[in-house]
Amino acid sequence: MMSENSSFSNFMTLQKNITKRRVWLVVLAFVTYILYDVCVFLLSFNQLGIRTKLAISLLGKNGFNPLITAVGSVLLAIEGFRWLSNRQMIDFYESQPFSKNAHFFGVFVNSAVILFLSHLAGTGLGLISAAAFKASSAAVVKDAFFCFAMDITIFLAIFSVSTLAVMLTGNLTVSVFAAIVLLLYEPVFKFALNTCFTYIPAYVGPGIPYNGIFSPVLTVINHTGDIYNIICAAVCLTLAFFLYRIRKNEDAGKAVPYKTVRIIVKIAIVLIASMLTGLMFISDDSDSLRSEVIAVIISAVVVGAVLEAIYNSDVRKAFKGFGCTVLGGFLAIAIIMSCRLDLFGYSRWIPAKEDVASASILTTDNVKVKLSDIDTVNALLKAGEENKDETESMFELTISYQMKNGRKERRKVYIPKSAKNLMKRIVSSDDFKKGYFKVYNDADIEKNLSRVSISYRNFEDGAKERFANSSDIYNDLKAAYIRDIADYDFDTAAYKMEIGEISIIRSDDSKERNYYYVLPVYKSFTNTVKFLKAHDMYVSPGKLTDETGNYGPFYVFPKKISY
Amino acid sequence: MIETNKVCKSFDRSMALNDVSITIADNEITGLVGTNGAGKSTLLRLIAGVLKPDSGEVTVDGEMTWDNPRAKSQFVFVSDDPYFFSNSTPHDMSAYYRSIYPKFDDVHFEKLLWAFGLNPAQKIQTFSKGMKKQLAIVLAVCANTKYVILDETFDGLDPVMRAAVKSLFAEEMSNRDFTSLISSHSLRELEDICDHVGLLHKGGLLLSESLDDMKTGLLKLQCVFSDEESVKKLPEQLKILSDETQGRLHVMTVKGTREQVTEIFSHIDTVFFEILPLTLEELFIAETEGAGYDVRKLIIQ
Repeated sequence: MMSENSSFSNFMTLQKNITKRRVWLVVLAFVTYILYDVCVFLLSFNQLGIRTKLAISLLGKNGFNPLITAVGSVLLAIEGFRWLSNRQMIDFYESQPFSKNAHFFGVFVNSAVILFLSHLAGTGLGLISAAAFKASSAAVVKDAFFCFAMDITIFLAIFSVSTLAVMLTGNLTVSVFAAIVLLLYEPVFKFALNTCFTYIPAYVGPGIPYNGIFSPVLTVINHTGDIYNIICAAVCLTLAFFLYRIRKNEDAGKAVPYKTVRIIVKIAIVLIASMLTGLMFISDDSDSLRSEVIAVIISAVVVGAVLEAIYNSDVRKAFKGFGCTVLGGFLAIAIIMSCRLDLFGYSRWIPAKEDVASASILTTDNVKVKLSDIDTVNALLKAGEENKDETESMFELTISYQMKNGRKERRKVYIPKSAKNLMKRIVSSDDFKKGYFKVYNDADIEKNLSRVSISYRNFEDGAKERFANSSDIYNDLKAAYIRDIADYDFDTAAYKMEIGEISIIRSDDSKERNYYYVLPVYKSFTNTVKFLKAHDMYVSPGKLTDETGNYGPFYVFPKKISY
Repeated sequence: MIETNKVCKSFDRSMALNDVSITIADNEITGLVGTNGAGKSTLLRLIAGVLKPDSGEVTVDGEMTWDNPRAKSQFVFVSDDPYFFSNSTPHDMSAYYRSIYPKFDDVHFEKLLWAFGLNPAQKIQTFSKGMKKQLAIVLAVCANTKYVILDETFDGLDPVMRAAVKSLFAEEMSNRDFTSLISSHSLRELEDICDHVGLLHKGGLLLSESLDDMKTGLLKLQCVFSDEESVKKLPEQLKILSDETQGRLHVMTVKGTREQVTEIFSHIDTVFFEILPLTLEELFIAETEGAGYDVRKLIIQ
């Protein structure tokens, strides 16, 4: 009898039988990998000169192998354990002389072997094809096997998460749905949260990063986190095995056998679905509040009812467990409204001066200028945060703080006309001028990159250029420019158009390294204009318009700002 | 020997089996009868190690069946809706069974397929429900395990096929160690095949007895008393389980041996007295009515 055979022999018998029942998956895996790695490579192989690059891109980590692996892993897990969702199959397999552990690890090992061998076949044949067409190199082989190794970790993670989904459910369709939810919930929830954050008035991104914490899908997309994949696999597989051991066979066919899981899943799905629906109706307009709330409520009720009908396989029980629906919907409304109405005071925050290590502002033309006058910056932030009248707004400004506790805080505000004096104080300060104009910060560059090329252009007639081998002429320009900046003020920065710009290109003798920056020239920069004329570089300003000219660092919108 | 000892099993909040103890002796065919929902399938699935008992023990030859490959290698379980691989043929299934049950008898399998008129190369999905049940039985028998557990496998088979399966079981029993546990919701399905019968009702075992023992202790008789007052003269030691009258004719089921009953009636003034053979159905009615159950409603269709 079976019991008299060795464990290994039993396990091999099980492997043989599992493989037999999923021959279609074996064929699909081999065909897909080989089609992609060999056929796509050959079909794409019509451009001479980029053969190696093409091979690297197709067989390496930027190709579609990770995607094929991810989809294959989900299929292998769900197909492998689908017998747990079917009473007929449970009766058939569980009465056979194999231990429960052997069944579980049998499916795992079988899936790993199918994926490993089919991927290896695809990669191997892809490399042979590349070699046959002289597209192979050490880099191609290295990238292909790096991708292969990475895909094994992707398989481990996604197979484990999908297995966990199967163990949490008792119905094949619901298992597929659960696997999708487990794999995609994190990126979708992060997307919904990040979208919500953009409706906080003073919010500055980048939001919650899309690096995977729970979802291996994000590491597949980002091509990162092989160690994370292995940890994820270990955690999820252990959890799945634990659930498999405690799972009752009589639960086969039930959508979600565990009550706690049903509650958590319902709240989570209602929350995300309601949030996404609410976000479809969200806008800066305060009148949209009502429609957002109604959309969230309708979505919560519908999604909750659908889930409950699935749980109970009975439409008449759709409104059972309404508490979870209410909680999920309430959480969605709470998150959206806390952002929309800034309930946590994100846009009312002003730091205590003693907590701030440094402050800076980001100009309209994306220059970050560090300022030491924290009081003025705080006053500017306050004016911006309190500014609710769009007709009074001048421009958008991002204010950053480096806090003494190491945290960085950023706020995006619209500066009102009433804060013009604060802006005047800031723009006229040495801090601002030294931070904004590069001429103050080029000593190190000058030391390392001795060659200087200076050119001037207006915004209509093209440029005239002049090159200088010594730094003498640059020093003259710098002196003239600094004399002009002394009178630079907010009116110039916000309302005046530049008449032209001086481009400075610094390089070393080999010209391999260079550094480029621009110095804006205004009509009021008489010393600079005089210098340019003296060196025959000046070009009369053209007819300046919004299309042709440049505005300064605090361009005041000609039109009213719409929130 | 298959034994269950005080087995309880509940699903959600309903008790499917409550404190069930039953022994399936070797080399016997045991029938398990009961209505739908009585707990027959649950008991069989517990014995087959598909379900884990909430409490109590289920053993096959002394070994617990739950998650125990050694115990499970002793039997084949055929569920009420047997599973076959998609697109498979009887040959494919026999190959699978052969890989699991090393004593699988290919020659016997081919012979039985022919006898039952099943095409070994035909896709099983094209088989009728009855043919699938026949194939499941044939596979189970040919696996050559000591025990075969069949859940409502006879239900739905036509009388000819039922007779064929019965003779197959009889042949197996005469040729080797063969013990079978068969469940059915109809007593009549099991009437002429079982050596031992258990009756399940609402998760409890109403009785479990050998048919021979049951027949030994029960008698059916019909008689016409000289006058109806004579009925009252029947001594108390005659335990009457049922008494149906048609005019003056009494049809009684009584406990006791033929000798004891004949002796008692020799002292009673009767016009007519005769002892009749009992059917399985009547045995059950007699046994269970005493316990306050109307077995006609439970198992006889």
